[in-house]
Amino acid sequence: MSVLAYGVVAWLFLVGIYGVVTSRNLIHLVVCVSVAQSATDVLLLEIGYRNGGHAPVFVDLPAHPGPAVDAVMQALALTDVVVGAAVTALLMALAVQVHKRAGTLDPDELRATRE
Amino acid sequence: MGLVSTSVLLPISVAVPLGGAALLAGFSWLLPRRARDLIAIAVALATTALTLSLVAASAGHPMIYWFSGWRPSAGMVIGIDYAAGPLGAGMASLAGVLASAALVYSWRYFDSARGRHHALVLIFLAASVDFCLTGDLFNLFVAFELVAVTAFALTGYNAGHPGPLQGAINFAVTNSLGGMTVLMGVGFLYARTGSLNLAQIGQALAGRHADGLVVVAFALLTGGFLVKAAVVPFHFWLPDAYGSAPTPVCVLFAGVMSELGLFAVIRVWDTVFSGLAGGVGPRMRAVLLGFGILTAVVGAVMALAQTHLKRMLAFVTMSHLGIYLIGAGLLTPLGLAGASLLVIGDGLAKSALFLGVGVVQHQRASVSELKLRGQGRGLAVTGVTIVLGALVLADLPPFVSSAGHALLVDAADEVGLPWMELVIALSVILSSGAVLRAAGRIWLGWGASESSRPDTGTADDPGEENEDDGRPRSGRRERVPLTMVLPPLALLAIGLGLGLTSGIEEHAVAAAAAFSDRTSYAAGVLGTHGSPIPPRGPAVPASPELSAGGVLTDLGQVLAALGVAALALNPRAAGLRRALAAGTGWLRRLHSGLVGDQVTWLVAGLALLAALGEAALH
Repeated sequence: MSVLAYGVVAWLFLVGIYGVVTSRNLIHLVVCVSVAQSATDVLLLEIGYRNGGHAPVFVDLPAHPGPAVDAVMQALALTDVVVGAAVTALLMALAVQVHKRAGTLDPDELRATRE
Repeated sequence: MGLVSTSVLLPISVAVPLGGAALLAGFSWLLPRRARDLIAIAVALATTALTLSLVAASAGHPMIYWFSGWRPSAGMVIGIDYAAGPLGAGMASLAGVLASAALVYSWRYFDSARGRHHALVLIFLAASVDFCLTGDLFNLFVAFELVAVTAFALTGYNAGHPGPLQGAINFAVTNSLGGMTVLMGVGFLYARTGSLNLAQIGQALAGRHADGLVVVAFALLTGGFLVKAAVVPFHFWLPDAYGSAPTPVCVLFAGVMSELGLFAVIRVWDTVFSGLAGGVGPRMRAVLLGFGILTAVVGAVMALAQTHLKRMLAFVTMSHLGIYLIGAGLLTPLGLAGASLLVIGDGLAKSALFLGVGVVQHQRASVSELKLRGQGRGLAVTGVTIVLGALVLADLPPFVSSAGHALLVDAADEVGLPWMELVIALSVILSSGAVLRAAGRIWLGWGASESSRPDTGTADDPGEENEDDGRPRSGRRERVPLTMVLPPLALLAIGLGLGLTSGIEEHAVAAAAAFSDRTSYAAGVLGTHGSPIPPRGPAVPASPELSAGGVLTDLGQVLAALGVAALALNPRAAGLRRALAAGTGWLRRLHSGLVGDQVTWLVAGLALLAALGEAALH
């Protein structure tokens, strides 16, 4: 389980970065940033995970609830999701503006319009 | 209870600008324009006053504030804290001063500033203050992202052209990736130590040998912060963002934002990693100095190659960031003190330069040095501002940057690296020379009107950007509004006043000593002894007064910068210029402005940092 999760983290991050580096479309690029971002969330959840742990909700518990997974890491992941949403929304808005002003979403062509 | 009543100022310094931003964002439609401007300026000034009071109150022993009163119990942190010393609070007050100047300046700069611009500036300020004060690693990340997101929005603000938009996108993508690596580093450190508190993590790692996980966490954290600090090879986004952001925003970027990245690198090093066993300090010094030297020299050379004034200032900023990294990277209180005074002195001067260029842009609708040749008539005050700013960047005494330079040189001598002075002098002379060359061309009409540039195919000159909704400017030759002329002069005056303050070196050294003393910081935060021992500053080197040699060095730098400018404008030196342009062409072509290239460099830089971190820590 653990090795698989870290493998997923590495895969998501690398795939996201690869997409950003090779992207020819700003919308595609923004989505790739989100993919890389999701790697950090998986990483945080995995760090806080405990085998057999229950969700970190501490009301209405049975008598012997056993261990809980780490709530701190879940809070971090949640905050990161919020940050990611803000960044994605802002980048999308910028991409829309670029398309309005330059008529293209290709970073290479966009650069050509500036010279 | 006296302690409680002063430490509550820490969260108030963040709450005031945040509240002001909420007010402006929510109710701007109710307020007339002037009221919005006045509220924003008043809030920024109040924040400045609050953070300045923190500088005074935290001298001697750090101020700690625990949210909701969740203090550590038996040395175990269970809450979230602010932990401020004079150095962090000083950084926060610099942010306050520059935000105030930017807001006064934008009074007449934007033809139609809505409340949103001011709200964004105030959020930026609140996040910067939070960043400087927090003692919690995750909150450091949150503040990092909040600074970043407001900065992305401000870069693209009022963008009527693809250039600024592309600058904002490059900036947002690279810095978001930097934020991700920071968060991964936070996660790894938590996995190793079970804490998010800087002091507690430092205690958990102290005396232990770094394992692979700690090295990776170091590389991810430091790499992410170096993206923000725009250190080579993480810097490629910087000229795009600075070159295209509105001028009042550039002030905040150049004076505060990049410095915050360096602040975080040193903060995390001092509180978390410096206690690792195995004599990690000297090896890490070599790593940081390497990055610093590279950044200082690359920035200076690139600055000289620019004719787009804002991109030139962007590279000047970068070169000086390299110098700060050299100072902070010496990992001695003396070096950090020198870097801190330079951050203040240069930050004020760089901001004055950006504001001066903004006046030129506003009045002449151009930021191209070549197009503006001889166009300076009628803008004499701004010309003086720009020349003075450039000379202050070359450490003109008695401005405060000169004192910082002297401390930095002493610090380099202290650790046996006297040649560092030459690297610093070279970078300072070249970058100031570039600005002086532009001033000579614009105000004196010197230099040939070179119409064709040899560097086609690079993003050196992205062209003219009109920042006011693309409206044509009416009455171009009208008098420059005082709200645009005075802020840069006021910033330079502050730098002069600080430079004339006696004993500023001692204060800086004491602040830096407190900042870099891991054990007393941890003791103060964790409350492991009753009252934190006031950290004793190391003796300031024999001559707290500016020594004659230091003054001569600084004057030499100033004269050399003037010489570089004269040489760059001399028609007979055209051959030399062509040779230099050919020699640096490869470097300029690397700055392609393509986000894919920038991210590739970022990943390569992370790998390099991880390899160096492994060598230094393991």
